[in-house]
Amino acid sequence: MIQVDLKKYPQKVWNRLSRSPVFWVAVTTQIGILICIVYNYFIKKDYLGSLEYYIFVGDIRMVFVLSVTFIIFVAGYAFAFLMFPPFKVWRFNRKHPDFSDIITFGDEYFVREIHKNGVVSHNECPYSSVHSVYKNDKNIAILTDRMITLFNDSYLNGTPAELEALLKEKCPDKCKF
Amino acid sequence: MIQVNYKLDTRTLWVRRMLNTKYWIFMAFYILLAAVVTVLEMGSTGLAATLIKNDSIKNLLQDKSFYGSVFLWLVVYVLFPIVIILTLPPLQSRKIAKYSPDYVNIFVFDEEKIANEISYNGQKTHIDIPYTNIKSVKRRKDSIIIMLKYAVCIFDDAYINGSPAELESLLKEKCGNKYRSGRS
Repeated sequence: MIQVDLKKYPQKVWNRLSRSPVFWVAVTTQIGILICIVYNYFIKKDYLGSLEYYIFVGDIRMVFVLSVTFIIFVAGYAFAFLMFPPFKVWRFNRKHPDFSDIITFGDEYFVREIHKNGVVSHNECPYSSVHSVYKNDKNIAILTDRMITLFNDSYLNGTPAELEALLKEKCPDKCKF
Repeated sequence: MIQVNYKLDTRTLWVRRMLNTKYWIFMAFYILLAAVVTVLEMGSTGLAATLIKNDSIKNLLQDKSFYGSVFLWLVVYVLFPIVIILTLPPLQSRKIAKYSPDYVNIFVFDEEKIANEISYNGQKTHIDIPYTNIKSVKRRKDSIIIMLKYAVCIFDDAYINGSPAELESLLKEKCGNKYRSGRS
């Protein structure tokens, strides 16, 4: 029996974020706005593009555009700061000190048991539900309908090599290593 | 013991969507961005003005404002609407029905806790939720909405065991001041 503690790691949050299309749309938009600002102020040297100038000139259209762009830009970066994985994990651990998430690999299923704020969740997942398994130096990632990242230093019982052998036995065509 | 079959159909997904704060933040962000881009596009550097100004494709490709306008059009009028359309409840419920035809989600309300049994594609999940985790309960015309970390909307026609009146009285007993009666 192999048992792994699925603690909240910033790396895990990064992995999950990188699979979210909304995250990539937000990143594209923010980078686009940043490039526009840098281009205008440092390359085009268009210092007149400031909000004060357009208020002085009385161009309501540009005042609206610049104000809303500023709001989006600032709100986007505030949101990015709150969602920044190390900070998010720190907030999570502070809010849920009793959190535990343990996965146990059995013969037919792997069982995930989560305790959080008095809520107990018990999930049994057969090996046939595994879409793919990836491996690198630091972790083994199992992709079902969600991504489960198992870090090499969080094994409570068993070793990464044993898990690898088990996964190769149970779902040989899904292992990408 | 009250048992409810919680189907993830279009109406349930709509209620969940409407009560999801993150969705409204995303929509507010999109509406602001769309307003800015629309105002910009009406000006002299907008796509329409750029197309009229340049009489040949060669001139158009040399015009820097053309690329900026195309980028804004793609992000605001193509990329965001695609994301919004793909996550609409009718499409989501169709996706669930297609990829998880055996999806079953049952809530059991007993004296101590709420038990939630979910099974699909061979996976089984059992979740025990204490009544203390309920943030609020609201009675609506045709449903009871229980706000946990997410909204659970139980329609009056989804009961396997028990009735809406029994669930109401149980929740009133367990949640006390968190219970709010809405339209009846």
